[in-house]
Amino acid sequence: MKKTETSHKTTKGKRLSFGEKKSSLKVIEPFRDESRNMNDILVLRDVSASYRKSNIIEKVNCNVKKGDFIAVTGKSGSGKSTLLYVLGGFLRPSTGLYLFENKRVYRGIAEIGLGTFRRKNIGYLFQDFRLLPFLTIEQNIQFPIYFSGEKLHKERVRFLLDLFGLEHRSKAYPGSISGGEAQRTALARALMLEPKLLLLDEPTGNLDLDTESEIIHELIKLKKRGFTLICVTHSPRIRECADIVWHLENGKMLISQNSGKKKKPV
Amino acid sequence: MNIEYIFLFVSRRIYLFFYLLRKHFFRMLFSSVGLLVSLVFIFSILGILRPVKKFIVDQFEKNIAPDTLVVRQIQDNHKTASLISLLRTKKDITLGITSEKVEMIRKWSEVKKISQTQILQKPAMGQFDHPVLSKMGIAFDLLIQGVSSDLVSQNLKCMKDFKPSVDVKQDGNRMEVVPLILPESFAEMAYAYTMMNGLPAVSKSNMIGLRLKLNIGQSVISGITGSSNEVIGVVCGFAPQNIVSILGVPLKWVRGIHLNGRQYKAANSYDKIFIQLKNIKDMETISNRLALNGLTVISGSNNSYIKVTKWLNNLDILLWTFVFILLFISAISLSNSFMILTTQKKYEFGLYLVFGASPMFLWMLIFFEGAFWGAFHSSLAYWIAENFYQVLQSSLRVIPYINEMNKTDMVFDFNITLAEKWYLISGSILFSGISSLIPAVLMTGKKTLSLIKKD
Repeated sequence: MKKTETSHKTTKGKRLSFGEKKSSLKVIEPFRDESRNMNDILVLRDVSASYRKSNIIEKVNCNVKKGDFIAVTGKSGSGKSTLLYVLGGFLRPSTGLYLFENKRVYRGIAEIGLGTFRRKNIGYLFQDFRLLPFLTIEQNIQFPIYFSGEKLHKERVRFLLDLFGLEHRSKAYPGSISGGEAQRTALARALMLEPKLLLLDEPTGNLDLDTESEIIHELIKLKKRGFTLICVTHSPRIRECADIVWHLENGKMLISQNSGKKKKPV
Repeated sequence: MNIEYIFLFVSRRIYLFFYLLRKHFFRMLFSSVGLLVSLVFIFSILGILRPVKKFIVDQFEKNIAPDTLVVRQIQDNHKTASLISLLRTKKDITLGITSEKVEMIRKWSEVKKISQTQILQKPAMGQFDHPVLSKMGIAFDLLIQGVSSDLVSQNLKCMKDFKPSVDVKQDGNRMEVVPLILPESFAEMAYAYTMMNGLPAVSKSNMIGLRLKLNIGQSVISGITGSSNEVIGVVCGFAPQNIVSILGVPLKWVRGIHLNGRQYKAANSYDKIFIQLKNIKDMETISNRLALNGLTVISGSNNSYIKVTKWLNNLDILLWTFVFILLFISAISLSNSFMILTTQKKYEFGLYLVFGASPMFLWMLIFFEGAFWGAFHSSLAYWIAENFYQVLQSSLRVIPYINEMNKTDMVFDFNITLAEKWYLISGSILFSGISSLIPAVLMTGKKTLSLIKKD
């Protein structure tokens, strides 16, 4: 435990590194691509995917570096969520290639191996939080650890409660907390297993301005800690805080770099 | 997984179960009742019907073993008439089966053992040797039959061996005491007689130990016919009609009387013999060979035994078929109930998958729920079957005939061994677990995305 606490101090301002590093997925064959950089955490090449025929992405190409904060924007039905599902290992693309840390994600059949991929690499924040109503805030946060096969570190839970200002609500149930608290709980849950990639589906979609500011503040803190964030949003304030903006229109992706200085969250 | 979460999960599932029970009451009820009825049937077949079956088979085997032929001479009307006259006179007739024939049959390679019965060819008069009944002066003529001890020794209830002993009376006289075996029909007749005349019921058990004074050589009908020999007969048990047809006494004792009375023909001939074969398959061959020697097989017991065991086996097949049909229906309804339970929480399970739970983990969760369901039902079914048996047993006891006439024979317990009980309970746990696993496997076969999408 002492070692863990030291780890927090020394990694301040960098990627959150509580506990031991997760073992990486088994390498089957490195993908060779000239356009790929070694710092890329994920690469999409000509990825097309559809979900319920309405949300379609077509031949999407992109590289994401470790520590990037990406905002995904676009009209409703433009394929933002579909893209997030592909990245999160929930939806197999119909064509194209998805590499995560130089390894193919959708290499098996059906859902085989995707559970492990999600557990080891992905933190997912749902737009509607999706907290389990019969668990307390603390239990919701530690929920992913139940399936990870890892030992539960109470210190880690306390650290996340503290990080998101939820310690006073730890024994409350989701039904009795505010939208902002629920969103922060969901965010803490997504971070419980220290994912390499954090996927956020409209994290401020249903929130008022004050709560939205709180969440944006948390996202910037996470970015500073070295997390890679991909955030589907309609919020112009999140878009302004992001390093890169992916704009989806009719399933096509337009990438733009935020070259100016980041605006401080309100 | 830690204990806290297991507790949370279990309490959540129990809550969900009661919620669904309210929502889908009849569906859940049918699956529960279906499983319960099947298990009660299984426990009842093993615990109740099996002992009854064993009891019936034992009764047959106790009377005349299925590998035994009962043989007598082909009917001779003249000799039958002569036998009836034994009530009045001393005779010395060669009965159908002579000692030579018995020895001849004994030498056949298929024969394992021969037992005989011999009618006493002397009149005999009986009186009750009872403080009250003896004062009434009732006397009656008797026909006595000597029976091999191996045929009736298992029916003895009061004397150690089926042979005469000597008793010293209060006046110092030594009296020979002879064990008596009565045909079961005597007990039934006595019971019917007492019932019809409003007398206290006479049962098999209270006839055991009844003492009769037997005057061998005397007859009520024809008066004293010669020297008489007084002995005491003690009713020591009952045997089926085809073993003992009149008053059964030890064969050696009867032969001794014949030899003392120089009735050599009577001493060396038998009215019935019981041939036990080494192999039951030889029955037909031996029956044919006996017919060539002027003997006939009268044993209907073997046919009845085969018929009854065949009938019991058919009943077994019928009941087990019924059980399997019930189990099949329960499996479907159990899967159906778990389908509801699973579908109801598909979103919750979807979230488990999102956060990295493996399908195997979910299968295990649902399997354990099903297993718990099976454990609960099998324990309840065992309890019901056992108590049903107790009720059945106490109901049987109120029937006077069974209570009074067959009390000693009709006692059999709910007979399931501990190992069988645990095999059945584990079997139903496994059965329920597997039935409940089907919807879980179907659910996890879907894409995670379709599970977490809210409809």
